Amino acid sequence: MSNQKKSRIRIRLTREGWIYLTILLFISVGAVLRNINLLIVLSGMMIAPLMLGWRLCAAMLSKLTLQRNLPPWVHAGQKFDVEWQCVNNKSSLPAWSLQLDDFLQVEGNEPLKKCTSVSAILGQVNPGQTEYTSYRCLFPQRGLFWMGPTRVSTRFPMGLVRGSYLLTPPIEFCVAPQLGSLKPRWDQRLQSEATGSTAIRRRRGVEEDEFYALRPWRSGDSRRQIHWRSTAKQGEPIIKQFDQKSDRDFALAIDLFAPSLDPDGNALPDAIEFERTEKVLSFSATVVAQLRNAVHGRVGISVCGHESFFCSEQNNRELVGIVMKQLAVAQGAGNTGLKQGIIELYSSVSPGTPIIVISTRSKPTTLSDEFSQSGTSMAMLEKWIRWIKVDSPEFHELFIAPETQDSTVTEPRRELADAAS
Amino acid sequence: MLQVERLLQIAFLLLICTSGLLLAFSQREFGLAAIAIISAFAGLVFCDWLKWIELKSWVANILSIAVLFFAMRTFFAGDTGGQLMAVANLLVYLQMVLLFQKKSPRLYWQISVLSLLQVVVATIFNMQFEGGLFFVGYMLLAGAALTLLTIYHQGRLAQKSSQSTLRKMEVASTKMSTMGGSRKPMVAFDQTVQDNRVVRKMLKHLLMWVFVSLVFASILFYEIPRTDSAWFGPRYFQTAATGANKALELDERGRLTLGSDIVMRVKFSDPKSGKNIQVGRAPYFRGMALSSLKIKDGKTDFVAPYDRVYGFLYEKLRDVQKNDTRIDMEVTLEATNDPLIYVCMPARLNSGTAEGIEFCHEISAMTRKRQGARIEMSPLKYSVSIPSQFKSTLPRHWAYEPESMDKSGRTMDGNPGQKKWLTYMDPERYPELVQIAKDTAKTAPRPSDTLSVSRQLQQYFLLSREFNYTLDFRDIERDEQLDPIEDFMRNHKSGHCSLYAASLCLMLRSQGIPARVVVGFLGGSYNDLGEFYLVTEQHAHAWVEAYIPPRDCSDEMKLDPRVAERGAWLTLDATPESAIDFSAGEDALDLARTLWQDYVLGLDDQTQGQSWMSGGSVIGLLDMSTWGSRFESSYSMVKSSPLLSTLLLIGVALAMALFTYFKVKRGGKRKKQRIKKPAGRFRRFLGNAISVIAPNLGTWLIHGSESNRVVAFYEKLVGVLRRHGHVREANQTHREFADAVSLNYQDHPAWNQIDDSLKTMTDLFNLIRFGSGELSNESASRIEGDMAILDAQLSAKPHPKSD
Repeated sequence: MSNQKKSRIRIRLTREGWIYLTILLFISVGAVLRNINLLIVLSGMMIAPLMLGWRLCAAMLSKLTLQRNLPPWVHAGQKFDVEWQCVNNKSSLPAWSLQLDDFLQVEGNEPLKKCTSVSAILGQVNPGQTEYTSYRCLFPQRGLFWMGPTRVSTRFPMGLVRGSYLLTPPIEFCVAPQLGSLKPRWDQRLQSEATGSTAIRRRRGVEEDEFYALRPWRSGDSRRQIHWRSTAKQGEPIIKQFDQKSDRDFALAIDLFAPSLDPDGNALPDAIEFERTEKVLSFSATVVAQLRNAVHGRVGISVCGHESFFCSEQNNRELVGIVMKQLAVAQGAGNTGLKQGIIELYSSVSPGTPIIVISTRSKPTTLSDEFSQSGTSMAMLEKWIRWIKVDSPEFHELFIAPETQDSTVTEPRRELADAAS
Repeated sequence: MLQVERLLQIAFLLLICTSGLLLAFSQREFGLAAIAIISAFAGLVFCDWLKWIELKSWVANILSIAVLFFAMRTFFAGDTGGQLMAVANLLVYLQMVLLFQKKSPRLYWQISVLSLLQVVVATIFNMQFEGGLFFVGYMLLAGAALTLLTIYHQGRLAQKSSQSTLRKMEVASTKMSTMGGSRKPMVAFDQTVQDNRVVRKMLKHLLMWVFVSLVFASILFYEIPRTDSAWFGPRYFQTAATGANKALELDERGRLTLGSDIVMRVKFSDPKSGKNIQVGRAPYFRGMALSSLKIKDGKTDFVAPYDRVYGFLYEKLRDVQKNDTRIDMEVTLEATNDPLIYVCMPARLNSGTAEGIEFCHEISAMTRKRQGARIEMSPLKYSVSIPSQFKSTLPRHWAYEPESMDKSGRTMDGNPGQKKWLTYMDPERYPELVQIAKDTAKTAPRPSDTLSVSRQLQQYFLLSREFNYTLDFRDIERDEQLDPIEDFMRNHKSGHCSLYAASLCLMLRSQGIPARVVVGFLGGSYNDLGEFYLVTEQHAHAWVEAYIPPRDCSDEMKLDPRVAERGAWLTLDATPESAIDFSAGEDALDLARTLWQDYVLGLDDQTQGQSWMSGGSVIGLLDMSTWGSRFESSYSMVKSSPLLSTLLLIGVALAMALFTYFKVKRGGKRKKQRIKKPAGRFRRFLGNAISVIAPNLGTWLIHGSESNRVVAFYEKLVGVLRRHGHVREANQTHREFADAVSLNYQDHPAWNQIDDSLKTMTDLFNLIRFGSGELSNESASRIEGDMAILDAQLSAKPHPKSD
């Protein structure tokens, strides 16, 4: 963001400025030809604001540092504020009425006229001070977008002259899939999977657990956990409830199987496949978004689609960002490389960690055979696969997907798609 | 503080009023200004505030066309002035139509353009000094209005359709986009710009900008080379009440009003010393003689015989006497289409005066153009010499000028036709007047002496207490059966200078003394600052000239050999002196008007050379070749004067002291800004002590604003949370506040993240605040990112928790 470069400041007459200039020329010519002194004075008084506007615009735009504060990613359908920070590095002149025209590109390298644009206003930035302005933004679909270029301009004071410069190049911006809601069943399932497994799970001390909430005291609660300040305020004993953390690992395979695609992946998926893919990605994004506090072990994620992606790291914020970016651009494919993805996952997490597969299709019957053929250890792998098919009852038990904007997708087509998978 | 839109409306109201008044001042017609002002008020109240009237655009278009035809119907028939009036009408009417439409930035701009064009028309009509002040006020208002319009326009542009976009966003945030749906992001700017703060600051700066504009305009104005005389624009001819009338109406009904318009400025100077002087007695600025007596509609009428003016009756009076007892009179006559010019007789044209001025014998007046000639509407400057026996005292008589080229030995007796004409009257028409004249003449010291009788008749009016000077005839009972002059002398004895002059003239004629009424101006206000007489229409006056033959002229009069040879015209004024206004005007204002007249309206190539800002003095400074001589002359001047040398030394010392002071002060300031002064031992101790009871105050005392910067991220977090409706209560710790906020978002899909971010930032804040940690650049940038995500997450509506 701060790496954006400023173009040369350009000063141009506005439409009003051209009208003003025309009147000025008319008056000046009349004044000089007829020697009408008052018209000469009027011409002078009219030229002065024009020149003043020209110099002021140039001076006000100089020594400004602008920076766009963006989150590393946002989710589709999520409103967020794009904040602009402006520092006026001049020693005396404030910058008035700055207009920031931000151009948002869908494809990249679009002509500015085709871009979605928004104007944000900064009323005044005093010398040596920083001011903020922001505009609200929502991306209806996931993907990679480009924010910028940004035109910084001012027409102050009279609106006759417009000074502007461009901040380039555009910034790549990741819009992850839309978030849904995970039902409590998901937590229970995750918990039970962990407890019932042979995964290494080390119990931590109470002090190291994470604070979860405050709740009234119940019989048996430790007195050490009483929150005295809240108790005093509420008039009844309140204790601090801690969430027990575990070091369990987590493995997620995202299967974006889209049979309607040709082998080269050139054709676009139809509406049903699109919806299914989006739901899978939405589910995945919701799960990944909540991983940060739910899992403290190693996280392995494999995205199997048009382009395969695999990563396995200790759970951290950067990992979430990387996965979100991958989910933002993921596309379905006829051949997803699921088997390879699962194998990679299995080898990267602790033995016994269940591998959750979220897929657009039912579990292929051939998958067991493929694992069996791969060897004994691989044959054991199938035991740890937890298959969740989109739109299955199990899927609906775990996840509430966002509503679709358009309900034109019909059931027969859905059935056809199932048959195709 | 009012909103920008309201301020804009008020600014435009004032702008329209000012441009309307400018138009009114320049045209001397306030009807149009009244229309502009009333429509502006009505538009503001009924259209902008109450919203009772809002013309649809098509109605406004039709009205505009109708207005165009209505206003321009007089355009093609009129002269230049009439055409400009038609344009002014059109501008005001169009503006009126715009004022009753729903306002948009574009409409405001159109109104401002129309207002500007009104000012252009006003300047073509020419403005006096007061108009010039309004002009500066107009520019200030126009600047304010345009600046407000820019702010208003920008705000409107940014918020354009933001409401609809925000509504769409609400829908889109709860629905998943389907295939074929638009990928285009939705964006909306819905912040309220801090307009009022900008406006306050802007108004402070605007004065400076207008000052800069004025300075720029002044320099440009005086630097632009002039090739011709200044144009004074079309101006309606307005007859001065008395002095400029070619005919004298003696039967005034109702009040005779006199305008306050400036007629001329007159400077008297001593030709030897060149100093301006104030003459001893009120000067009579003589216009012309009304020598023809006519009875029109039963009333006596003195008129000038314009119908008998021929070419041979004009003569150039340029024979200036080369003696020391003369006074130079320099006159600047305002633009008028009247060919008359005004001088104190006996006047002779100086060599510098333009050629066109001649003396017309038939009307006995100096005139610049002959009848029927085209009059240029521009101020006229001329200079004459007046012979005077005594310094700074103007004579009250002047030598008789015969019409023939051979003037030697010619008296009025040699021109019996003229004598008959100037003594003509019907005694039966004025029996009372004639009787009074006879009786008064008998009381003269020398009843056979023309001079003695003339002065005695004048004294009759001046000494009598029966006569009353008035301009208001409404309460005077008139006898319609009598001639107004006879009625004046017999009954009411009330009137203005014309009646007195006409009566005296008739009395003189009844005694066989050739006499005529003369119109012109008497006195004028003497301006001490500018050392000139300002003559306005209020100084218009009528008096009498009686012919005194050489034998009756006094010795003093005969000092002029021409008088001794030809006789003289004696100035007689029957109007009581108490009635004549000699009150001084406002000197500074009059001087300003004069300067405005000479150096703004009338600046031409000659005046430009005299102006200190003119090309001669400013551009001349850039001419390096003149610098040597300039330096030499300056050096010799300083060297010769000890006072100048001392002043120069003091000036240099002062300049050095000021330079050093500002350099040190500014340098010191910069140093302060760069180097952060660490807290001293005492301050640290005090801060720690205060921290026990007021930690924030203690920290501030030790670290100053630096500590604020470190915990600024937390303040920003508080701001973000406040935006989402969470405010920390006074009895909550920071951590408790974070817990409380977090609990509100338990159903949120990203609750874990929200909770994590809140606690991480709160803990970090606590660490830094109590000195256990520091905020690295990496942490700061990570927090910035987290904050943005948190804001976005809090903005998203949580999905209901499913059972």
